[in-house]
Amino acid sequence: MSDKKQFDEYLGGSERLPDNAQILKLASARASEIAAMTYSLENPHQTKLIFQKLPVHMRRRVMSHNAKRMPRRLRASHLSQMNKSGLPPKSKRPSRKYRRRPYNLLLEYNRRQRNKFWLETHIWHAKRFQMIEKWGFKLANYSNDRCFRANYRAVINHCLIQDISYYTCIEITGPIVFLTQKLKMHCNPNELTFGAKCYINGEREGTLMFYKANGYPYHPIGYINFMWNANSCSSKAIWIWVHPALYKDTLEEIINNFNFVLETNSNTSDTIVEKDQDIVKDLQAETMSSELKIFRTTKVPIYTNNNECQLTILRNCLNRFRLSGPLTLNTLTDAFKLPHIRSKFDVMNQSSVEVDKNFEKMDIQDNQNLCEIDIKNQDKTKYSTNTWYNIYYQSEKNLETFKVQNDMFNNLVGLNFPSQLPPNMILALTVLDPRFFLPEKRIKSLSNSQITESILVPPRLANESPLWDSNVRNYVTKNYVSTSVINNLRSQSLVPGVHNDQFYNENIMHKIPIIFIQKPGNYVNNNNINFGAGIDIILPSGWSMPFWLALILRCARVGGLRESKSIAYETPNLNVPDINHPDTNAYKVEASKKRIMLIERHYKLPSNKRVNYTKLGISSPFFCEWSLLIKEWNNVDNFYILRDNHILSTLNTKICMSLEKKRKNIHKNIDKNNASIDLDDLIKDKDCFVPIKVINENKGLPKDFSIICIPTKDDLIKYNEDKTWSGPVQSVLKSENRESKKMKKKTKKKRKKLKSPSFNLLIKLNRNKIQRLARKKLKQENKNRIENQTKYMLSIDCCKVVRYSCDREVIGYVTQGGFSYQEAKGIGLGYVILSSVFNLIKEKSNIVLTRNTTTRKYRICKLEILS
Amino acid sequence: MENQKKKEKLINNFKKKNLNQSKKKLITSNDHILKKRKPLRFHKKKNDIYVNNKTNFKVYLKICEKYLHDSKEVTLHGLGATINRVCNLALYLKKIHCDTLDLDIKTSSINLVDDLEPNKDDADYKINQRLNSAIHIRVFPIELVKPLRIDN
Repeated sequence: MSDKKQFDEYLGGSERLPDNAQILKLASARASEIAAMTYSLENPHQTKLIFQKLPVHMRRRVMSHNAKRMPRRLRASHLSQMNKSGLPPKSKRPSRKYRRRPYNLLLEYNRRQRNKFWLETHIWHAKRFQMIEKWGFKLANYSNDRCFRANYRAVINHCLIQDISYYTCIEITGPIVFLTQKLKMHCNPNELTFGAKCYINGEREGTLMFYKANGYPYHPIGYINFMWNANSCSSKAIWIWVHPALYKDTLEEIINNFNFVLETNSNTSDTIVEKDQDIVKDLQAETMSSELKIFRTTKVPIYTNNNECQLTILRNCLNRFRLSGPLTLNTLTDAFKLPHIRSKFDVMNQSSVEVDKNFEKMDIQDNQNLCEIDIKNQDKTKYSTNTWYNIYYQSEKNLETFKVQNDMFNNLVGLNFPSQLPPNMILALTVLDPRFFLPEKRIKSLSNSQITESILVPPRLANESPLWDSNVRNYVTKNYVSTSVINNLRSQSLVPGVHNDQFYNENIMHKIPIIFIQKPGNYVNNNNINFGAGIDIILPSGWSMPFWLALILRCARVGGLRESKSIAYETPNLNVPDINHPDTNAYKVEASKKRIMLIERHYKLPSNKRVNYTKLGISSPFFCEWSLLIKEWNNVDNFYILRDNHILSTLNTKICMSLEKKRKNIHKNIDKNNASIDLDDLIKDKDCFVPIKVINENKGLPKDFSIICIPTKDDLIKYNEDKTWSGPVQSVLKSENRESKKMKKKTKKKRKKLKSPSFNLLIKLNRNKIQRLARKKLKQENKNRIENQTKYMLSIDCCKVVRYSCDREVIGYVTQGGFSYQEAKGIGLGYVILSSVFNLIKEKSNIVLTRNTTTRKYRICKLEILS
Repeated sequence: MENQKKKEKLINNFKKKNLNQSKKKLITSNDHILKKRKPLRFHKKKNDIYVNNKTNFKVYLKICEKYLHDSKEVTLHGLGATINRVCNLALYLKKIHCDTLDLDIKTSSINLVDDLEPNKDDADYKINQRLNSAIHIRVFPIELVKPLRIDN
């Protein structure tokens, strides 16, 4: 020990230092401290940001908001730090000039359509239409200019065009007997099926309700269009056009019923798969060379089964436009020109004589130009050296079909309405590239006064089209010549411009196979016959834009999704793919989406602007409770929509019979046999809804979700006395919301009490205790209040009673309502319970009441049954 | 004047005849649904008016007045049940113009086509062709010839 006195004992304390220290013991006693120290060394507790810790000579003031001034190795961590602190580093939007560079624009376009599909006319539409995302597509909903009525007028007097390429075409090939037999399981066996005599030769397109296999009548999927191939071999092909809302269900059903298996091996003999790979490769090559093209990687899945059937999904392989209105035919005949195709023998004789000498030079140049293109897109198929039509029209038979089609096309010129063609007729055509026949200015094509014979039946061979051949389709799509090439051509001619387009030789123009399908429009009650009649065109993919522009330049008006619904509403025709029936899956999906949307909108409003539906006696304002309604009426769970045309028309005649007999015009076409049939014999299963139309007698417009009710006897008496009587009024019901209002008042009183001076004294005395108590109480009160509010908010959504929810008995809902230009009145389309229709027939009246969700006023309507 | 009376008589006779015509029963059966096609139109200039039974009579008068003013000539077309209306319209026009209008009347029969859509698988589309009478009245003002004057 040293002399120095150091510690406790020497200073007179009780503690004594040991003589020796055990190192292990000492170390283990300090272990935790050492660990803490090493931890803090390894994970330094940072209080400074990274850029603050840089040495002084490296610091810049802008570093805090511009990450690029940081050294590169620190940039990532710096950015993450900035993100954490809630200040996202702002990146300046690149300049418009930069963004508009073709390459960047294209990148942007490709980025935007990564998770949804664009139609070929997307960019055209996106500039003028409100676009919505639907069914995996980005689709045009309605035009940005105010044109609702203008579009209706276009259908009535002019021509309305819609791009409906979002429909998917499913091709099934196989032995005809097998196909019809299997597909018959998916339709109503009592009516027309896929294999009907009128459809099987491919002269007409059919429309059917597609059911799940053997699912009639309880499991419908939706309406589909279909057309058979024209050839008369034992193995045939059918194209089924499916609306995207029904696509998934339909495909699943078909695959299950046919036992289809997806073919994974792409090296099969089929050319489509090979070609598709080529396309993908091409695209890769193109992007490497930064050539401009929007990505279109269309894969064509192929399914096969043991019965030699094959299913090909031609998704995005075909485009479809819908034109409706009386000027449709004039627009089409103006826009399209048919080539002069002669047999090979003739061509040999007359080669080079026909070519105009003045334009000979130009033609040679053109040919060179086009040749270059051909080399670029060199095709490995048999069409590589020749164009497809040279080979296709070599055969006598095909040439004959061309002649028939040519005559037919020339005949179209003299017709005034598309409805003068045979209904649902299919006409195949091969037309020249429409870009060579564009007018200089947008000019409306008008009807001309040529008198031609009306076409009574679709002529034989008119429907035979090369478009059914996948090789032709692929060739035409691949060899699309961009507009710039054509413009180059125009600029090279002696007098540049569009004026001399007509002098170009036909050989340089592409020939494109297309198909016309007539759509007959409506036929209801002799009322404006064939409203909405028109023509659908089917095009090969890639050619949408030139055809679209050619039609637009003939003053066709463009409509979107809204128009297809409004046409169906005006017609009124519920049997179209655009309208989903309540017993289908597609309806359920759409209805639940709409319900959520509407509820959200409802609660976004301030409470004094919200409609109190309980007061008005509307039990389900955002949703039609079909299953509840049928349970209350018939005490069953499942329901379906009555679609038997025969039954519906007899029902309608029965209801019409009860009308006043003065109005003879209505009775003109009533079949008297129908009226005498006993309904009970006809309809065995009564658990169904009937599609109906309600027409407002006096004032009022039925809107979506408005209820259809049966009038009481007093109502009928009042109405019969005074035909201008507007209708009864619903009494005000007690609102559940009242109690919550009472509670609010109570709590207000309590709060006032708390603020009174006597209370304040108490608080001062025992502040803590009281505060604690008050908090507890508040918590409970709040809890109760929140629970009540959620109950109230949910009560709007969960509906328990429909039939007796208000003063009058509810029999159905309006699904689509508004003002109809056709009727010049408010009309609503909807569904009612079948047994209620029987009651109406018994009472010999067709008067019902409708009430909108936001009013207490019942309006008097007449009921008609749609078929 | 005699000429005009004759014309009126002709029109009245035609009206009666048309009313008396018994309507042919349309062929319908359980296998088919009858759907009518729109009839062919001859031409549609501005002053060609195709009359229907739905539109208000007075509206037609207004339209006719407008075109008589603009292009000095109107052609009224009527088919089947509307013949009566067209005749009335033409005569009324003449009346309110104090007989300064003249009528040029032509009648014709027009081919109509009905489609019979099949209801069952075995049936095919059928066609029902029929004729219906039509009337085309050209309404035009009479040129009142001014009396000759000898300039002096």
